[in-house]
Amino acid sequence: MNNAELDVAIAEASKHDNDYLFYLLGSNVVPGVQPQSGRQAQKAGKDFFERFQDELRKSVCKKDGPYEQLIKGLAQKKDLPKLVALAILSGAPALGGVAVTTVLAAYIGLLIVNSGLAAYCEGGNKGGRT
Amino acid sequence: MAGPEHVQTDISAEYKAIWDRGLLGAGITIAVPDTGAGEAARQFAAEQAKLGRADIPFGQLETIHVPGAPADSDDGGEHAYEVLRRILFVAPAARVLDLPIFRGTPSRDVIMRAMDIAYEHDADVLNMSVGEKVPLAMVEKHYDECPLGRHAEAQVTKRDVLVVAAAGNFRTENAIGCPGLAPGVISVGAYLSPEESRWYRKYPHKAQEDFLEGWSGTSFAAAIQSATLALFRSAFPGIRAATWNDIVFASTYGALVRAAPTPLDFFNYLGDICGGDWVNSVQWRELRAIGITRRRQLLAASKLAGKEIAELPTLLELQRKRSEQFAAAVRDFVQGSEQIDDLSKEIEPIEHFRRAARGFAALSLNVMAASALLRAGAGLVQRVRTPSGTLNMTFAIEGGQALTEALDLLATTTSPEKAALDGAILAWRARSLTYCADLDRTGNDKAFVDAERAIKILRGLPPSPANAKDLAHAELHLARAHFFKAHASWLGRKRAFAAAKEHAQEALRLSGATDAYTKSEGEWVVAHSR
Repeated sequence: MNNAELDVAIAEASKHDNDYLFYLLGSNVVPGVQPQSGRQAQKAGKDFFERFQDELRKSVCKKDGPYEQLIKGLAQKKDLPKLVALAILSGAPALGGVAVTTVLAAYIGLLIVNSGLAAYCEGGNKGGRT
Repeated sequence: MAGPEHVQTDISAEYKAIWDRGLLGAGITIAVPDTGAGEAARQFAAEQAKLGRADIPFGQLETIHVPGAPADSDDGGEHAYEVLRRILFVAPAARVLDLPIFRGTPSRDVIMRAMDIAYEHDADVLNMSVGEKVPLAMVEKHYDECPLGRHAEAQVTKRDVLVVAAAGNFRTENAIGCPGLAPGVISVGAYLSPEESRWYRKYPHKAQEDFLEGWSGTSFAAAIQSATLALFRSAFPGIRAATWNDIVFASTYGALVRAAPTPLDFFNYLGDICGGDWVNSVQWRELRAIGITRRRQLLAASKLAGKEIAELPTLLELQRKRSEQFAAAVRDFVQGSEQIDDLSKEIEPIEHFRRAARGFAALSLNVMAASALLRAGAGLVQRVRTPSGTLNMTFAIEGGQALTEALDLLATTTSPEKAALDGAILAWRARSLTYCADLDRTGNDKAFVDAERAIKILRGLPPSPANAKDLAHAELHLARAHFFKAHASWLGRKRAFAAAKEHAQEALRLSGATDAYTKSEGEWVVAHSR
């Protein structure tokens, strides 16, 4: 994986809010012929994100993962999207048959960080959902 | 910050002029393979009431099960509902086929089966608000392997079903949707007025928000375009799906903006060119939207042709020139039409038509080129009797030549407009030949052949006011040919006069005395055939 490529992907994705990130995610993870509407793709992105919560959480919230680095003060907040994306790329290289590319990892990483990494990982530990 | 509602155009106002002409899509079937509106379709009656258009009879909405596809949709039919709502808004009297094909991702086989079912149920327009993302870099490979695109293209070329597809919402991804990428398919891109476009450029965040919150995207632009083209198909039923594609392609990319002195679109001109009675304006921005998309298709096509992206500017320049050529031809056609009835302008309008014909022919729009030559030839023949009253046989000869050129151009086409045009052209050539009969006895023999062929062709066509007029014209010139034959020889004179009278009376009956020339000439032949 090219680090610079990930930096660019995160910089691009950071321009968007969560709703649009879900849309971008949806339009990238659904294979085959699909209805061509923004809302439909956004829904597909949300469904994808929800469906693979467990796999994502395992990668992001694991021991020595980005969350632990954050609470131990080993990582700065501004680096979190990249750290989360890297954790996803190494821990969940494929989700339900969809290869997780740098761009997808950037979208997912930002969605997780934007929703609050602590809430995401703690919520998961309590069995809740984001 | 002003909301986008400040810049959004009221599309009902844009369509009102079309609806007022009675064009509501009646007699046209639009098929929509999609998520299936199901029960939601029942809400259309309520929608209709909301629009305050209870006076407009809604067309039938039929749900047809596609074998292999689930009966239920996976989103409660919302997507199909929004697509169908737009189609029925623009073409309220159309018959619409709701073909549910989605639950998750349907197989290509199911989608192709839906296209076949649409054809079996007499679809005139197939709306594909669906697509598969294909990066432009992969278009060549994908098209080779994409039966969906080829199947969609076959609907147009072999089955005369006009296919309108969403180009896909892949603006930022350098990609296009399949089947939208297929040649022959009208692929619809953005749906924004210039005002909306400007507004959203200023507030890009709002653009994203509106895109996601409303039901927006190329799905819905395609729906509006499908329904608009359905209105045109009902106005010009003789034009084939493949011809519509050519017309849309040739007319986009700014050509019309340059051609028209006002935002009156080229369908105004099309009425003239194709002999239709209907003249009106249409969704200007929709045509431009197609133009944008076709430019994308050109990008895709350049890959198909194995060209490098570096050559794209040249290709786009070629397309721009093509559009300008079309615009110039349309402008000439319009100027010729405006001047043709002014007999004091002898050659000027004819030259306009000749230039228009050359322009259309260079774009391989042979039907339009033949139409322009018909107008040139007819104009020349009309000028045989100059204002001074003397016969100008040069006009008759040149007119006949233009008409022969028109017939030659049509010989290379298979379009359904061909028969009606052949009939009209032969009728006019018969007239020019009857003038020539004074100079050359064989001219009259040829006039018989042309007039009889014209009558045979025109009687074989479905009745229409335009055909009746051409038929009256052909009958009149057959009458004139009999009349000249009677004058040329004593042998069979009585029989020739009787035939002249009979055909002249038929011409008068068919023209309903509304065509001044047929009336005066027909009455003259009847009066002198004894």
